[in-house]
Amino acid sequence: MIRTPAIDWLTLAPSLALLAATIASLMAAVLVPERRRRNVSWFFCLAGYAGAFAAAAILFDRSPHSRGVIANALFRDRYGALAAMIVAGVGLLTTLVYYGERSTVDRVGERFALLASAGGGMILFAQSANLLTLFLGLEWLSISLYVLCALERERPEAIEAGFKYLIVGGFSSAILVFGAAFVYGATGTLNLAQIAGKAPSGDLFLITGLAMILVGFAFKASAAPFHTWTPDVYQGAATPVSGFMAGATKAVALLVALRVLSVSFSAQEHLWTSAAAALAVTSLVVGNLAALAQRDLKRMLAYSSISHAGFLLFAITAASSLGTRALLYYLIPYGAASVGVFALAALHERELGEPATLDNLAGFGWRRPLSGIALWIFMLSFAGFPLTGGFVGKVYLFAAAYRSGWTWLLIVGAVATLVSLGYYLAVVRAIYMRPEPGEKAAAKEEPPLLDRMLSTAVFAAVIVTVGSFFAVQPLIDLAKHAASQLPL
Amino acid sequence: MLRNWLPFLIYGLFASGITGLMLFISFALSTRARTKPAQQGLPFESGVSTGAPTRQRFTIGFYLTAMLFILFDIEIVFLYPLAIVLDKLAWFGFSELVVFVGLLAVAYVYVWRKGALEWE
Repeated sequence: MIRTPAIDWLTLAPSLALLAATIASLMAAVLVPERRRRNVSWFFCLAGYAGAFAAAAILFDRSPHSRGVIANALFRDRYGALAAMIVAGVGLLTTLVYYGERSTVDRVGERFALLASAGGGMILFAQSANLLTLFLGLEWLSISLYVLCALERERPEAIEAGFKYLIVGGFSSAILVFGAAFVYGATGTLNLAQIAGKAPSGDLFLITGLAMILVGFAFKASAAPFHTWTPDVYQGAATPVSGFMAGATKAVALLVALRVLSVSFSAQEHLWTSAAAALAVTSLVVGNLAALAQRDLKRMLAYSSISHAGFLLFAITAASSLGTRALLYYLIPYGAASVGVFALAALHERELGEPATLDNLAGFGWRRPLSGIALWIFMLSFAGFPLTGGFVGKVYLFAAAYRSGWTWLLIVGAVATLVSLGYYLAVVRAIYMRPEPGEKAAAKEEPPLLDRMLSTAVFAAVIVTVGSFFAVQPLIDLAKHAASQLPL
Repeated sequence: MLRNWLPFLIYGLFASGITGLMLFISFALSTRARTKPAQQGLPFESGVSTGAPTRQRFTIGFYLTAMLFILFDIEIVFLYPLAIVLDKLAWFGFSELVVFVGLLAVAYVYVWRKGALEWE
């Protein structure tokens, strides 16, 4: 007899919920009559994300101690559970926003299947406890996203986005898996917890593997200089999908990177903290300076997400429990604000029938007062103003970097924040203080199409963004419980 | 030490042998005319094509079907190793097999209902 592993169903539950949702909405996409296809597929996707969120919350509650389950393929711990909750939350909001996105009838169900599938992959990725499940989760989420980007193949930009993401993403996955092969060669194990201490800390193969794995993660988190795909992909993909990628993909890439580095490479800490600092500074410089020059809203947000990768990398640079807490906390308002701001971009696009730019945003704040307020709340959160979760998150990240002795990084971060005001406030200025062009005023006469799903998502995103400022303590407690399970 | 590599040598011989054999057979059994084709004897006239294009193009439907075939074919290959150890894996293996085939069935239903199996 071969000894078969015991299955811990609760650990698998979040990703299984999304896998079931994928299958259900894919079947709905071909078996349900055309008229109800969108609603049924959408419902399954929403139910999948809601189920995944609930399952992850239960998992969080019932995993006070970190341990490997299912033949040590997955971690059952609060860190993975909190990551799953962030992914499921972002996915839930994205599903709401995605409902009203225009699409041809014959692919109206598939996008929800792919969205659910990407979330399932992300959760498996976040829970993985060995390099093989890690790669499996990564490919699961990436392949879903490649297709999701290129789904509206009538638009050339969508094909461009999908193609670029496929090539660069495939390339980065190859680098990561090559790195994993080096690590395996040096240590003889794929198990994350066993890698540490198996080889001398200066082993050349191990260091090479570490570097390549780090590069693979940097691609997925779109940290400069591995960011070049980001603007084109975010611009070309369907707007809700861009929000999902900014809020969820980046989050899991950074969380898993921190887990792998701290669990498997604790002996090389001096190496990867310096590398993360270099990535952070490059991302901040490239992201902020390039964002200043953008006129297209989605492209600007793509560069803003690159600069945020820089800020979030402070947590990895700090390599401390405080840094982990800061990262987990900051991803909550950041994820909400990302989905929210791309939702508003989608709203504007649907009204105008053309890409949102800083120029055609003129008058948006007067035409739609509530959406205007929501937009500047998200911008202020990105910039790190008080009364939004972005403020607390940034303070925490800066404190973590300072505590670990990275004072010069703090200065770079402060300057970057100042520069970022230039483009975040430019959006606020554009929606209130620019005269509305004459022909756009004519469009005002038409009754505004009300998308209740999208409004709900934006409202929820505002609640989370602002709420995380006022409800800091409960969220920090969650993050603290999760962070205490990493060996930092 | 070197003895450990013997299976690789045999494997390598097989790999190159089969490839070589395939190349050889396609030459040996090909139905090309032994003599030069008549067209090669014709004088060259610039700009005027002297015969039908020799390159054949396949319809896109061929690639779609071929791709789907390869996809499902590869999945079936995975069943062989599982079948060999199925009695040792007992019910665990069997349930894994059912899940795997179930997922394949979902994909099959999708492909079928999407009309990818219709030949136009």
